[in-house]
Amino acid sequence: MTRRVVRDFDHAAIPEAPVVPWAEVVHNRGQIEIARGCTRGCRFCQAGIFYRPMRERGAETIRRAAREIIRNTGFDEIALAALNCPDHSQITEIIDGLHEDLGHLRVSVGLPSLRTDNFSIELARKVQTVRKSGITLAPEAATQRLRDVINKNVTDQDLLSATAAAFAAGWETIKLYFMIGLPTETDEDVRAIADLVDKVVAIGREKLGRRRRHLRVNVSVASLIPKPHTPFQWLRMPSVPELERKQSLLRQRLKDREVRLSCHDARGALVEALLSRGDRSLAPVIEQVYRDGGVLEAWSENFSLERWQQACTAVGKDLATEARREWVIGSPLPWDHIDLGISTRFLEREFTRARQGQTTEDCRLVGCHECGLDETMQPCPINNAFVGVDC
Amino acid sequence: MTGQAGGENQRIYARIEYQKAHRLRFLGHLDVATVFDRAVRRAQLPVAYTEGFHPRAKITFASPLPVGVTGLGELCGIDLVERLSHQQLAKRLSRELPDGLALVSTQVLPRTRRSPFADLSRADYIVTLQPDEVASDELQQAVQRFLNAERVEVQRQTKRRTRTIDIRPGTHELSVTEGADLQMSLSLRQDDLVKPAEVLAVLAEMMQRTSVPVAQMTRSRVYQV
Repeated sequence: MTRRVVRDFDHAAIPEAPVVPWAEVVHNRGQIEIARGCTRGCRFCQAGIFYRPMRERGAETIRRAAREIIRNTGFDEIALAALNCPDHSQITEIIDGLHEDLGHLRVSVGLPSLRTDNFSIELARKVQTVRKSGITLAPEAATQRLRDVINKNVTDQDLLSATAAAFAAGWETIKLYFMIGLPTETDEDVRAIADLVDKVVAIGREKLGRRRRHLRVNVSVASLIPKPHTPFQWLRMPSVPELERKQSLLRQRLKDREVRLSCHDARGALVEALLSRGDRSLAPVIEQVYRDGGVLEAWSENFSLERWQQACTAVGKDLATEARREWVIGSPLPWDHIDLGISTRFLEREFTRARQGQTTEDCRLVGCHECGLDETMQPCPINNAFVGVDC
Repeated sequence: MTGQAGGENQRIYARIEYQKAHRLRFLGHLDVATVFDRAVRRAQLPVAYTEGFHPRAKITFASPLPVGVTGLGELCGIDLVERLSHQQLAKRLSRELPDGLALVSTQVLPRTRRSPFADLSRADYIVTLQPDEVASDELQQAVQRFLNAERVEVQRQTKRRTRTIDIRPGTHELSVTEGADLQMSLSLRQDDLVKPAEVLAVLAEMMQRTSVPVAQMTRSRVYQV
């Protein structure tokens, strides 16, 4: 099964007359996918592999589509969608253009979760000229060593100066995304999350001054699920007790009034791992869970780990063993028949670099890392456009 | 009312009379407001917007219609920042309204500081009952008892407490038509407001029923002083 890739993304169709609901629904706004794919290469991220290579729509295409969408729908917000909007080479131009075209109709521009740098804050400041929302930053890990392992190439300094800029620009609520259960992670790395949050809180108190009682730092902690087609695909998923122990380390530490900690349910993560890493022999398990009443399980009151365990037992599987399986490099994987055009050798290489704590820079900045797409696409547009950089 | 712009400080608004019918009668009031906000934006009308972080078109509704009730002459006002003819306005807006919301009439008028709908007086309702559920003279008798009563008390819940309210003074008309529909004219004024559901509840009680079996309710007209 081979993935199809849209080569000319700028000319690919944009839904310009979506259904407009009369009653309030989620995502009650217009949306434009401004770019597809991401070249940052975070090693846990499935979408980052799945949607390679990064392709952009031009600023003019986006502006024209936005005007069309608003004319057809009357929505009061247009959301820009991409794995990482600030990476769009014309992002400033796009946002300014949308304000110019649609500001008089009081249409605001929405940006999804942001990376951790000042440029992102600057963009967020730009879009909130019409309307104010919270701001989300995703450092994912709290020590430089661990961020190098996952190839999240930001520094503490980036995060701290970005939060300072956000507070200075008037935001009072900041949401921070972290992950636990990452490879090579120690308790020190987990405690460092609390240290980093403490620093953010201190900055918030200082910057907000008299408004400091409005300060809110929402900390969201997810568990790593080693996803297929990523450099972490071979990894063993940490056990539920281990994840819960790490969560409680954080709960003990993060007790400030301003901080709200929310940890993803580790048992739910185990089932998610089972579903994303399993093969066709899981089909009867899923059917059995459904027959036993397992519906709408994303709502915690409907979720039952026992139901999944029983369904696994019924077909002679052990849930935890199945979900947490570790694969030896070179052994066949359940998803090997799906060809994304990315070479396994690239994923292996990235996995090795991860364990050595070596980062891999954005291929738009430093050139091709031979992920396999250049051969698949002949040539990869990013590699084709790469001319080197003057530093 | 064409072309000529008023004085610099002359504020104007579009006074819109519309129907809310068919499936859209089940749309709640806030959703109706959103539908108008979007329609106005699609029509690119020169409307005034509220200030602040969540600007919306300045649209004032005369009186929210209860969910499920058809409205034949509902009123809203849209503040304008530029003068345009009411024909232009009607043409551009009616194109953008969904089936079920239809313009009845439009006017472009000067806007004072007061809400254009501060002085609502009453509204007419027609209630069609489910056939063969209530005998016509039984209903007739209940209506007569209602009209003869000196006080008709109901419990009305406000945000904090429940109050006992006399709805007799605000019930201007109440009758049974030849087609056995209930017809009523109820006050919209703050001091003697009457809600149609309250009248129906009292009638049900008088007939010793749990409720009046309503098939369809229509608000045919809203009056201003």
